[in-house]
Amino acid sequence: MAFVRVCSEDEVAPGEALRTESAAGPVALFNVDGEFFAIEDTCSHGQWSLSDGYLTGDQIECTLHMAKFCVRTGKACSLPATKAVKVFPVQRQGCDVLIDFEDGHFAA
Amino acid sequence: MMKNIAIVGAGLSGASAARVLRDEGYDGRLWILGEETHRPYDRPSLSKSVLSGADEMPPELAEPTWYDDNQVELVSGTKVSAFDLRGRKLELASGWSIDVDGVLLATGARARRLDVPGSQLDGVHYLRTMDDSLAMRTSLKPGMSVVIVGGGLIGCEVASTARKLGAEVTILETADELLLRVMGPMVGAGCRGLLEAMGVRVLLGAKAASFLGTSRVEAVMTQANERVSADLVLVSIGAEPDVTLAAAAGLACERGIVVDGAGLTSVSGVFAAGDAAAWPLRGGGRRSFETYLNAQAQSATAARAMLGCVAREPQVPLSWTEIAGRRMQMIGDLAGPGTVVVRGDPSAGSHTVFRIDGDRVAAAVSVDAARDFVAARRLVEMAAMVSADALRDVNTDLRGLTRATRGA
Ligand SMILES: Cc1cc2nc3c(=O)[nH]c(=O)nc-3n(C[C@H](O)[C@H](O)[C@H](O)COP(=O)(O)OP(=O)(O)OC[C@H]3O[C@@H](n4cnc5c(N)ncnc54)[C@H](O)[C@@H]3O)c2cc1C
Ligand code: FES
Repeated sequence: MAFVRVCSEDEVAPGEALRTESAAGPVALFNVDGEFFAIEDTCSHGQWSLSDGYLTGDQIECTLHMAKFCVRTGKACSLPATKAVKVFPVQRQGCDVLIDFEDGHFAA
Repeated sequence: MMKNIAIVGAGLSGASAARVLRDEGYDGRLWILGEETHRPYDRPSLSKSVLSGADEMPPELAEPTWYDDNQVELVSGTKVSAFDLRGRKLELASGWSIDVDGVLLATGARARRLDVPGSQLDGVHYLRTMDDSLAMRTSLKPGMSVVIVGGGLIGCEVASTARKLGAEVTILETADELLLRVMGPMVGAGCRGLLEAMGVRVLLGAKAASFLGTSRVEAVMTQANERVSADLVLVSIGAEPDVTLAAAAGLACERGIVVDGAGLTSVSGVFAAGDAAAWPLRGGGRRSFETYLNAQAQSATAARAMLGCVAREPQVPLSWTEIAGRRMQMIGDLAGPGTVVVRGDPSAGSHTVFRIDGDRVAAAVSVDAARDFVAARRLVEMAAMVSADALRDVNTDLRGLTRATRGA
């Protein structure tokens, strides 16, 4: 377990995303109505950044070909993507948001 | 409640509809009947990563186990040869027949054929299926002369791919600009510039009159009697919705199977979606959209309607392409009435072109500007009222506009 501080919670408004680089590759952090979730930033369809996308509820839409992923589970919810992206555990400490970049995994 | 649903056509629309039917709780029998011998796969890659060889095969639209896991009876390599509407029976070329109470026609489209002298020669290709793409890939060699008849999306995509593979590429286009129908003259000219900069030769106002050669094609003669050498020809002059089965069954067809905004045809229980369907446009009229995202949305809408959840959803065309290494996305028809507004500097690369009709945003094309397109797309979908000056100003936060603006 190695949670690392990424930002403070008011740096990512609800509906917005933050992209961070990590040893595990780029990771996208999303604010879904005050809850934070982190997934791999690279779309499983065509190597595109998901943090640039459009968040509706807990689904992020890739800007390139509009595949959708659930930011809670990393699962692909719509074509053209068929493969999930990894999720990373997120923790809050006071106003800080932390991500465990070492524990990126595919949700069951 | 339907208990026996058959989907005719195992392409994107067929696969998407099957998934939605199961996701929405349909638990009756479900067939997908497809003429191609492959499981449903991604067609857009055929002119891009598959043709270039970057991908060995096109990605599949579902995991191979998905069909069995979801009790979907996928029958590949079998054409549906007749549809008895009154008897609710589908006849398969294999001699089988199945009784159905609901049918989704997702038969897609075929490449339009060019009927000129020499069009049967070896080396004259069309591009619609995986087999077409693999055949073309096997023949494509660096240094060979490739002539592309038709400068639309597929023609320009293949020109980019073939040129990158080192072929000498010439595009023959009958109109006075490339991509006119989809992109309008300004973006079309921009793409031509990019293709020419890669070394693609573009002949406008040029019509292929015949193909020369004894058994293999050697050249294309234009109507103006220009001889263009060719080791390989691609004819990409558009697609025709495949209405063979529907028309023979007696369903109303007009360049596509006529449906309402829920995908219902002229006969109850029979639906159509995707490239095969002439679907209502939000701005009025109906047509086959020939785009991935519209096919996906239509098949989802039709699948829900089959289960009794009817929502009529006229659509706005929405798609993407990759030409000369640029990623482009488009919504609405850029060719149309009103004024054209450019945001960003086309010569510098990333930019978005809008069409404003009256005081509403009617269409947009983004070139290497996916982030702006997210907002541009919403503005078009909302038919938002935005001034030309606001769109043109690169300091205007487009995402902010989508939140601040109320549509029609
Ligand atoms: C080379 C190429 C590149 C493209 N690139 C893009 C792109 O970049 N962006 C974009 O938005 N769109 C693109 N498109 C368009 C997109 O692929 C189509 O809109 C989409 O495939 C439509 O899906 P569909 O399922 O309706 O039809 P199709 O994919 O055509 O599938 C229909 C299937 O039905 C089968 N069928 C037909 N009749 C019968 C019958 N009687 N019995 C059994 N089976 C039958 C056919 O064999 C076919 O497999 C491209 C298309 C091509 C050909
Ligand atoms: S790259 Fe994300 S949908 Fe294609």
